Amino acid sequence: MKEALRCFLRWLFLTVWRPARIREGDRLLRQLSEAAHAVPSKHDDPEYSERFLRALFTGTYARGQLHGRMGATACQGGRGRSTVAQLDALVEAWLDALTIDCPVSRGADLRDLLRRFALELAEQVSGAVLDDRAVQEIGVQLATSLHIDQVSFRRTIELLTPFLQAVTSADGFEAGEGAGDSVPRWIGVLAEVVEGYTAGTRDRALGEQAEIVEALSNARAKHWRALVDDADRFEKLLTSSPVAMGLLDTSGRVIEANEALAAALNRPLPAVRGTDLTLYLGGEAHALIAEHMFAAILGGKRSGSIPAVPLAATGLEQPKWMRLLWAMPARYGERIRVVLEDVTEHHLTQRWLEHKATHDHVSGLPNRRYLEQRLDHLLSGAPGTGTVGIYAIRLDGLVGIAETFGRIAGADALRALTARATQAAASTDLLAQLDPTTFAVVVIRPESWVIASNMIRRLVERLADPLPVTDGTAVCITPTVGAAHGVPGRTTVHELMHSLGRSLLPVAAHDRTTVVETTRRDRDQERNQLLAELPAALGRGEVTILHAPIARADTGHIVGAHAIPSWTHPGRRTIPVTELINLATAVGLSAPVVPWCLDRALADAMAWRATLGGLAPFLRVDLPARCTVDKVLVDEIFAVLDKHRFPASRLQLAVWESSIIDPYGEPRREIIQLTSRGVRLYLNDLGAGVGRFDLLPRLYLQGVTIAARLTAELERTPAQSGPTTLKAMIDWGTHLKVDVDLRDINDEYQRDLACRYGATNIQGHVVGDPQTPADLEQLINDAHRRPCAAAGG
Amino acid sequence: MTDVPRGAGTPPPANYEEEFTHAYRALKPFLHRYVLVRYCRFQADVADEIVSDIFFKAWHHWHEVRLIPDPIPWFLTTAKNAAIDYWRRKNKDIPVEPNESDVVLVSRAADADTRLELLNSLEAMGTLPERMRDALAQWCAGWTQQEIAEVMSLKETTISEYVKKARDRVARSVGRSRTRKRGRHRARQAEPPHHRENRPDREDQS
Repeated sequence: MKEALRCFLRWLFLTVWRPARIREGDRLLRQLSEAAHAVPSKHDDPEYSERFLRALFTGTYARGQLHGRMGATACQGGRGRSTVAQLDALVEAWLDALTIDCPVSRGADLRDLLRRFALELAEQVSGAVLDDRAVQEIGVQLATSLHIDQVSFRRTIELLTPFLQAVTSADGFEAGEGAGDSVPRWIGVLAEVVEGYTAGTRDRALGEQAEIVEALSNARAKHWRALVDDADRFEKLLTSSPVAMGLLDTSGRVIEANEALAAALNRPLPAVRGTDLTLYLGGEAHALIAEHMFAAILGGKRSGSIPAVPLAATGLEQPKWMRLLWAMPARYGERIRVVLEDVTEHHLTQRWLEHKATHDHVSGLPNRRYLEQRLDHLLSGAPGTGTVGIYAIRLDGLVGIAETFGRIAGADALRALTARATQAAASTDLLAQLDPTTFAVVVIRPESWVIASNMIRRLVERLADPLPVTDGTAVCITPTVGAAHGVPGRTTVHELMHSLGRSLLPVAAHDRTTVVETTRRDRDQERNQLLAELPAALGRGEVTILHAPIARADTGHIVGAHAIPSWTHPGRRTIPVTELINLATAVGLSAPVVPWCLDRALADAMAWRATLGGLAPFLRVDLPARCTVDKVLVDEIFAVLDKHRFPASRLQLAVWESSIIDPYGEPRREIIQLTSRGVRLYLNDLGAGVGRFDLLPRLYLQGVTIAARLTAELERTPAQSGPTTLKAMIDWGTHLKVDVDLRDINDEYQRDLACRYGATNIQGHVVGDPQTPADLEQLINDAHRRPCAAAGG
Repeated sequence: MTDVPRGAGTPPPANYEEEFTHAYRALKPFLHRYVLVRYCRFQADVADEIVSDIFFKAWHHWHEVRLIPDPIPWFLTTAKNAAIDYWRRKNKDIPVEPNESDVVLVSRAADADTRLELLNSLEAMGTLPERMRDALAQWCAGWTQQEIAEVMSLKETTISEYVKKARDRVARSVGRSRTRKRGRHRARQAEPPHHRENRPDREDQS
């Protein structure tokens, strides 16, 4: 039994498992072989082969010369070397370049750092998407961590250029051969390095200025400290010193003071004596300062200083900041020596430098450094203090503005976009600028999280609006949004920023700037001007109602009139204002458009009832898109019906899906009020703007109107599939047992098709264009007489 | 006048350069692939440089090489010496293990999975015995087992056995536990080299 099992296992091994394993090995080795065949060789190039052979035959390809040349041209072109060899050579040459003139210590750490930089750059050149932030960071580190000067940076660029070129060539992407890239990737990478170095240099310069200012201030503080500590010298200089000095008792009262102190406090010298000095210091915080000062003294500390306190003296032209130094030696008993040094200039310079270092110099928004400091503070809080969210809005196309219209226009555009962003994101916790083309919005508070998505949507819409650049030209940028969130105590700033950067990477930035067509801009301008004029035009009676006849599809009899408002603008052509009214409703224009239209249309309809009697058509009125059927509207409709005593059953309201379905996806209760009164509801745009087919049976509809673009399927040369969608929509309406209306029926062929498919009513050119009430009345009369005449004949 | 290397004081024949050109054109694709797989871990530029070196030596010894009935073994030996020379100049051994630079700079055309498999296959090749590795590299360079046997002066059955064992080992190292290898490969990337070298390979032990 055991032997049989062993035989079976051996058979299993030899016939099933081992062949399968060898097949896998075959596959891997075949893959290896194919990869070896796919790697290109320079010797495959006939030209190179010819040159190589010629060099061999003529003796110019001597081995020693070869290696000597390669060694000499370590990174100057690097042709004929492997990329790894070039990397090593680059690092060595880079190390030399940096350590010749710069105070950089040459060591293993620096070599490793440069190697890491080189690998990162190579990866960015070869990667699918350029992570510009990572590349800029290399430039920043070159400037701030390594402190390399301009000469060394120039050498760095000279070294990096051939290396990145070689990496590009090794990857099979020669210049201009990238996927749609007109500029080779390595140029972009180098440009990012330069940009990062520039930003880093600026930071470095600001940091050095701050250090110089601080050092000067410290030197002066040391000087005055020595004076305060030296009692004899202090006594000698007390009266003659140009710096404010004085002697106080332990309660802070001035016992003796010099002219400079009196001048600083803007009071005469006698008035200064006997007053409490702390009342002049620190503004509202004087008590705190006094407490700090005297607690230090009483606590055994014989001297101390406060770097900068505001001076609260009255009558000063500008606020002053003073440094307060004091000392209380035993020889003078209870008297305290005090020096007040004016540090206003130093304080303002420090604040200016701090602002410059933490804010973008073009937009004035807080920069990445400030943002990271703030996020670090937030994320280092106790766990459970609330999620920190950050949205990055990259402005694709902003670089294109600077390239197309110049740097000044680019800076102006950024300022304009900043103003928009500040306005749109006013309720955010922090708006900052990550880099020259990316804004960042930080969300911290719970109330900010509630409105975050709406705020970002609004922000994106505002940023995407056309931006006037020069006279007559406007451009559109494309905002791209990335997001990341961190939890205090669990996420670091680095992780958060990395996550944010990765969220933007999948969408490659494009720097194409979309120039808005002038005609479109003009059209928008005209439309907005007309919208502003609309309320006045309604009052002046320039807007009139035209009626488009509605006919039965099977008989062709005119049974209804579709009221279409039209604006006869003085000096312009007649303007159809349906879209304008939609816009007015969308922006919340308070003009009473709907009641006005209803009132006019019902007046016409009542006139027809008087003249045409039983032939009078029903009336259909469009509700504007985004106009909600609410109680106010229902009351207005009922009021107009009552005013004209018009039978509600002869009024058809053409509504949109969003008008009769509430935000929770349920039918509005007001439609029951309307339909119970007898008003008929027609749903517009079936097939295009209707998504809740499941709700249609619950909407108390009289009929539906098929979307106009589906009617276009009724062409003489239909597509191969035929008007299947239109047919399906008509079938759907028939299934619901509601009327199905088609608009834009322009010829007999389309009418026949509509009739054949089962449409109930039609309107369009074949029935009649929009016309005045009198013309429509005439049309109905003519249509009625014609069959009678035909019957009589 | 061309600088023809003289051998044994005999004047060169008229078709001296043509012979060399013919040999160069016939052998360069194979040698490139062989060097690529065997000695430089798919670094195309290194392979080019080593191949140039091989033909440089071949040209200087052409008066002898041209007389060898089958010069392929001579070229393979020269390839090995040229590769050793090359890496010695770089103060490195012939690369066997994938390193950081390989991962970053080499073979970007393939997708990530294929590239990883490729690197794992190369790593598995590095663990093979010397002659088995030679045989496999030639097999990958496109030669049949019969041709490899002739070049290596071995029996075809021996080469067949070599290739079969090599396939088995590569599959055992890479194919059977590909997923686990990926994880280990990533973990190895994060470890210092000395740690990697000192750690016993459990799979190889099994």
